[in-house]
Amino acid sequence: MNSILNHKIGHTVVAALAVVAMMTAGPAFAGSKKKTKVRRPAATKKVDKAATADKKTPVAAPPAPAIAVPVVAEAISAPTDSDILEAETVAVQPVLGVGAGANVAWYNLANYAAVAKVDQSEAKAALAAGIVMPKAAEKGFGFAGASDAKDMRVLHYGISLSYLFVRMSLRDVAKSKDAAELLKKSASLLADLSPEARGAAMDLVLGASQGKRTAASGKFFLAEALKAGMRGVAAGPQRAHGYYMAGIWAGGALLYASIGGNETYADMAEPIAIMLDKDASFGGSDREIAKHLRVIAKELKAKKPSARAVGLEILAIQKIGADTK
Amino acid sequence: MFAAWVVRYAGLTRNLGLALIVTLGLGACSPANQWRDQTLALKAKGYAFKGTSVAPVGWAGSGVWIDEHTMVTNAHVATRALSLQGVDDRGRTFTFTKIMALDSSNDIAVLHAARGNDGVATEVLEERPDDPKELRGTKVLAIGNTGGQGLSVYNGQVTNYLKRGNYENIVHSADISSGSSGGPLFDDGGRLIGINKSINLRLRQSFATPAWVVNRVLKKGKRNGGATLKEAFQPSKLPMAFAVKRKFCLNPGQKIVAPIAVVGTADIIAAVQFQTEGTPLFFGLVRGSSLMSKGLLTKNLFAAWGTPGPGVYAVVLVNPKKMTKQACGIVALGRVAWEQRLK
Repeated sequence: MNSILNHKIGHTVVAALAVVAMMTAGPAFAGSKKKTKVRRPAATKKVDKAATADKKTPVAAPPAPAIAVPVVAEAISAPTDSDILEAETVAVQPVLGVGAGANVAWYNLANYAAVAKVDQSEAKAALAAGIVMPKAAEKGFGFAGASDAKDMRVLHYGISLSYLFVRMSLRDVAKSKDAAELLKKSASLLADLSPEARGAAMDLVLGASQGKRTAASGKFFLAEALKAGMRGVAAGPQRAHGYYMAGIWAGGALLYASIGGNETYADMAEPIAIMLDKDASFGGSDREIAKHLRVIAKELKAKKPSARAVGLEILAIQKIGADTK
Repeated sequence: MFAAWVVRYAGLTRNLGLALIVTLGLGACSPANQWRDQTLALKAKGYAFKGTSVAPVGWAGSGVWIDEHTMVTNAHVATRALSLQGVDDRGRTFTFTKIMALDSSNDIAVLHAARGNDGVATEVLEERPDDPKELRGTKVLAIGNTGGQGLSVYNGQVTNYLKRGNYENIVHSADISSGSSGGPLFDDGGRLIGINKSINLRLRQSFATPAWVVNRVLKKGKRNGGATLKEAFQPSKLPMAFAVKRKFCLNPGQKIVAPIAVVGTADIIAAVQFQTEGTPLFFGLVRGSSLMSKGLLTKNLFAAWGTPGPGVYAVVLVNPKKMTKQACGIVALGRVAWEQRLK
């Protein structure tokens, strides 16, 4: 187990909240590239005054007795562990790649040069065995519930897109073009995804069909697709974007298994797997997919990751059937 | 806990030839004892995030002079420090009030002292060797402020160089421990080849950011104007970089979970904008199955937590069971972008 080496001399008082602040109304939440302005009460700048901020603040508690008085903040004390851990999960928002080095990590996901130096035979074998092209879509969606055929097709489409990315990384131009043509024909499967997610996919597909591999035609596909998936889960439809992310991540793992693993990429599996796990309490297949994602993540952290092993896990995901037809 | 850290930063290399900055000005100091003037035991006073509160905390680390006014340490030693003092092995005390560069992904911070060190400087392996693996076997000397008790000396050798993506690490066998963060790793010629940052207790390995990576950060720092520690790390008006935001509505007893994959070290943040009144929320930060922090949000605000290393942390928001109405709002998740405070 590693540990960072600074040494805490001692904790003193827990003073309060210099940090606490009122969020400004309106567009307080900018995207990651935009600065967010936060307005804070002046009192929070001084620790002694700020300390009062930790006290319970009455929120519109009517003094008069009433039978149906709602419980308000005043009556709510600090939570117990079980208040947090045992509450019913109704939504999961995966957040991938947060940290000062995250941008480097994200854009390092387009590491073509490294691929050229490795033995590609295992990756190519996995690609040959693993292609399952999605068929026409059916209806269905709705978060927290049994997966249907459309969910599985979005998942497969995500895997196929990442496989196309891997093929391009392996400079397999001819097969990339063929795969791109197939994906173009099935593009209607992405109809429920956000414009951002569809845009990243089509940049890749159109670029591959023209034999290109530039930034504009998918060089940063994995990063862009995963970010789009994450934001799509937030904006909805959650289920479609969740399966899409799972497929994209799984397919992309083949690339990293081929170049010796990638810890950052492996860590991205867990938030997706947690989302699938929680969703599985309503359905069935999600837990199976989550299990395979975790096995792949473990493989990516191995000393010598096996592209073959990752390919087999992806194949196992592709064989998972929908809970409902 | 830091297995991920190890691999991510793994990339240890060794330089052959090139590099070099020359140093000097060490007066009567013999080469074997140069480290006594070059290395500093650091003592920091700052704070730690505790969800919706901050706790004043002090900590110890190590640093090394690069030139007369410039000292390098780890980003995790400098971050959230509002005052930072260093003492060399001669007992001279220096105060660092300005931070010139902060690179959390490589765990390097560059600081400036107004009062110089009378010409002490350090020879640095500035350029990456053609084959950093050739550093393996190099005898090394690691200096660290072990346990905040003053500078200690550790011998060892470079055992490996690891590189994953853009992250590089020198792995060595000098048996450093807590308080050595930011301390120098010298080769047997007294040249700085890395800055110590973490250990793997299970494998008994020590990790250092290579000096050529430090050199890149240093160059950037010298181009920047920097900021005082109080400007850079004041806990109000935090610079935030959000990765995602979403709406939520929770009935009593329900929660939303946001698992966050942290790269390197980061102060993660969850900002909540309530859309319903009188609907407080419980919040928690979970790692694995352990609840690291918990509390109560009663109005629009945010909670922040320091994370000890890479991995997956989950922010949880709960509408308390005792409540009788739905709680709705928007939550934004991301990190504190301290580097935005540096000019």
